[in-house]
Amino acid sequence: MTISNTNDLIEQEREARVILDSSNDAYIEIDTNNIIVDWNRSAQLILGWTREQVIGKKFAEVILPSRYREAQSKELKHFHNQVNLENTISNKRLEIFALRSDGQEFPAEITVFPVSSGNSVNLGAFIRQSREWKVADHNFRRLLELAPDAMVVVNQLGNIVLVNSQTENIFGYKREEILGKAVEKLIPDHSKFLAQCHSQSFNTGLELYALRKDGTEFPVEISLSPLETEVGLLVSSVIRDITERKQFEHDLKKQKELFQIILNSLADGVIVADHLGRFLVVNKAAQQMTGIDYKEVPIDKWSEHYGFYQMDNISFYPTQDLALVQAICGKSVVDSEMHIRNAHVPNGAWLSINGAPMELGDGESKVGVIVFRDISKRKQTEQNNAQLAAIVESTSDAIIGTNLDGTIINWNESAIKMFGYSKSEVANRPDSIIIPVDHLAEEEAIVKRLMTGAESTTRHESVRQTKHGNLIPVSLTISTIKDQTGNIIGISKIARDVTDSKEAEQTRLAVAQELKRSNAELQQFAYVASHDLQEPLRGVAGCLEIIEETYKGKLDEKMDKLIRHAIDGASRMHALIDDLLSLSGVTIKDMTIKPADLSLVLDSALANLEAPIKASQAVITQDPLPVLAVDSTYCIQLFQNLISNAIKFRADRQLKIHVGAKHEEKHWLFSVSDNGIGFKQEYIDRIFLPFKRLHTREQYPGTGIGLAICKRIVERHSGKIWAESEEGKGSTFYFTISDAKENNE
Amino acid sequence: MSDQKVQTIEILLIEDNPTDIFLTEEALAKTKIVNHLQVVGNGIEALLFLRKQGEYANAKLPTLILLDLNLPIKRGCEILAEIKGDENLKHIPVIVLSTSSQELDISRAYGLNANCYVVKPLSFHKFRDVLQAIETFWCTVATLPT
Repeated sequence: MTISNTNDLIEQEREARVILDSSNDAYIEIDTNNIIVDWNRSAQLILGWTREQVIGKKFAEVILPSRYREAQSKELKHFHNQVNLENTISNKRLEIFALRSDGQEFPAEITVFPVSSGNSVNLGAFIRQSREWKVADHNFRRLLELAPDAMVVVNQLGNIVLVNSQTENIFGYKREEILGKAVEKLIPDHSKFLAQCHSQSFNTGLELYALRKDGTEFPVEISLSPLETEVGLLVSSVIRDITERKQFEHDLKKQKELFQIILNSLADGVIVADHLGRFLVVNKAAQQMTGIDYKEVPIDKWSEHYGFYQMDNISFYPTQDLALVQAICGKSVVDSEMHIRNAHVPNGAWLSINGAPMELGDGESKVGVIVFRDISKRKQTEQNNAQLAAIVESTSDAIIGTNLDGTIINWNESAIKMFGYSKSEVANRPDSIIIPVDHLAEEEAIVKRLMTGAESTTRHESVRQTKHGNLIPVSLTISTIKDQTGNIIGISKIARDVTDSKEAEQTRLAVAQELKRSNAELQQFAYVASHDLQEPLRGVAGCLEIIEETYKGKLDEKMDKLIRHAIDGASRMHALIDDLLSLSGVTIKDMTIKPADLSLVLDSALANLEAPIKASQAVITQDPLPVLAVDSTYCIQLFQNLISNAIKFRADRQLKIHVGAKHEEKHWLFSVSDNGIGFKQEYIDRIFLPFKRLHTREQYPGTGIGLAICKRIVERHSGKIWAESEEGKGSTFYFTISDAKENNE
Repeated sequence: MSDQKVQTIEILLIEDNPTDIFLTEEALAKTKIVNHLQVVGNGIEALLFLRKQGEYANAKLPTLILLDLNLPIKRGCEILAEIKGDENLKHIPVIVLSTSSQELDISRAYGLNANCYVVKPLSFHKFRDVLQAIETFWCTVATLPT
């Protein structure tokens, strides 16, 4: 072959390529082994495969439906066995169905002709879509292109065999870039979902993520439908970009959440119920305030179930009047008050409720909405205020409230009565109208002192002036009024009319003074009388003694006896007067109260009684005695009298005397007990009276003043004295002495 | 002792009650010591006597004064105070005689420098014994300024 021949050949080849590529028909060339060796542009468009995809592949497997493949194989063998190829099949024209990459068959006209290729003869074929098909296909493709969703057909291997232009738009690929590629390139999880959906013939509404060419993800909804074809099962997917829908759904969800948050963060309770009384909304505050949840309770049982009460706090709230029921029925309610008390709110609460009917968006569902708040505190304050106001108005004290410059702001009923000014007469006037001029400075000083904050209340006696000019003695309590932060915002002045108590006090003082005077007089009288009685008595006794001395035995016996009786009588009278004087002395003498060891006091008493104790051979025992504030002289006499009594009234047995002492709550209890003759309990009240005796003088000498003096002494120590006794067994005398440091008389 | 029997002691009794005066005279009459009893009925008289004033210009100062506390016009205590406050009289022993055994009276009398306080016994015999003891003590046991 010459170079020019070669060049000619190359030129021929180039021209043939141009012709082939510009042909509207698909041109395919296969070698003797049925392998595709050439594939023009139209082949790509008509059959869907790119040149690169098919060169080297078996012709029959790429474009022939399986039912033709065996026949074609025989035909091809037969063809290659022909000697004169060109005569045999020159321009053989066939009408068959061909297969496209998307698995679709289409009617095609194939013209086959031998092509010499070096030593062998290849077969060339022109394939053209039949005219009717072309129209149908065209329409189908237009439809495909017009579809609003991306449409992707995938073969059994998972490779993309057909896409529409929406696919290009949505994913950003040119279709050449994705045809024949694995569908995961677009939908990463496609095969996974495909596997799930295999058994079903049709799947719709799968939501997956898709991947754009630029790598961004976006949500898609995919409807899958299987398609049985000659090349096996194909799956067509309708892919819809649901970014906006997702966003909308997301926004809606967020809005719902926001609504919930707002609802639950409200301090007011919100309840929404539909026309059947089902709760649609019960926010957190509502639940906390009332314990109401979403549980369904028939409307007519609400009051009973939830504990809705009327203003009296006792009667259940009538169902039809409940704010929520009114709202459900289409009426608005403003500031309705109700009491609620149930297991959740055991102490009860007052609610103020607003209610309104509402229509939901669809225009058909009507619901009732109530918004309420807990006004228990306000109610409590109102009640307290009412109570305080009632107290202020009902007290007999005049209560006057002023601001800081003394202007009267409050003026209660008693103030009206006490001072004669009505409320309107004092309004905005200074309270100095009721203060006498000579007390203004005093008042001013007190208020000034209070304003320094050193004290918050003072009390003093003063005088106030009525409207008619009368002066009233008053006990005044002046206090500062503070606000919640402690600032002084006013002054309260409480005046009590003490006219009566002043008078009572004066009467009391006068009586006390009178009593003191008459007491003193009486004592003076007793004292003087004793002296003045003693003297003539001495005269009588002395004279009688001289008579006796002079005439004893010289007159008759009877006379002697008479004189003796007269002398005895005089001496008894003398003793009585002496005792009377002692008793009045206990009353007169000032006591000297100071701490004294009572065991020393008892020792002194025993020392004074040394002789009688010896004579009676008494055994005297004692408890430990305390140190107390007493008048020790009197206490010596007290013990002495009690012990000498015990000795005097001893029985015919060994005399035992015990002095006991026991600390009780606020005092010491002392006792002097003996085993003497005792006395009948019925005489218990008489024994402490002066000159009362239980025995004849012949049996037991004495005037009967001893215990009366004991009683005086104990009483002057603010104590009590009493006795217990059993006739024939013994007596116990008890007395108490306060253990206060200073013994006030 | 016989010398002292001869020596008469002067006793001034300040007492208003005639019965008491009688009883005192009766009792003193029977004591062993010879005495001369002068009696004045009240405090003013007593002071006039002691100061030798008025009708008492010739009176003799007594060796002992027996003073009853319960006196008209001037109380016994006042007289005691005057006597003991008088430079010329305060050395004379004053024996206070009283029916009162009250602590108050006793301590007041001693507080005014009474030399002795005697509760008049009810019994005449005892009274006589008391006066005897007083005479014996002040006139024979004690030595008085002359």
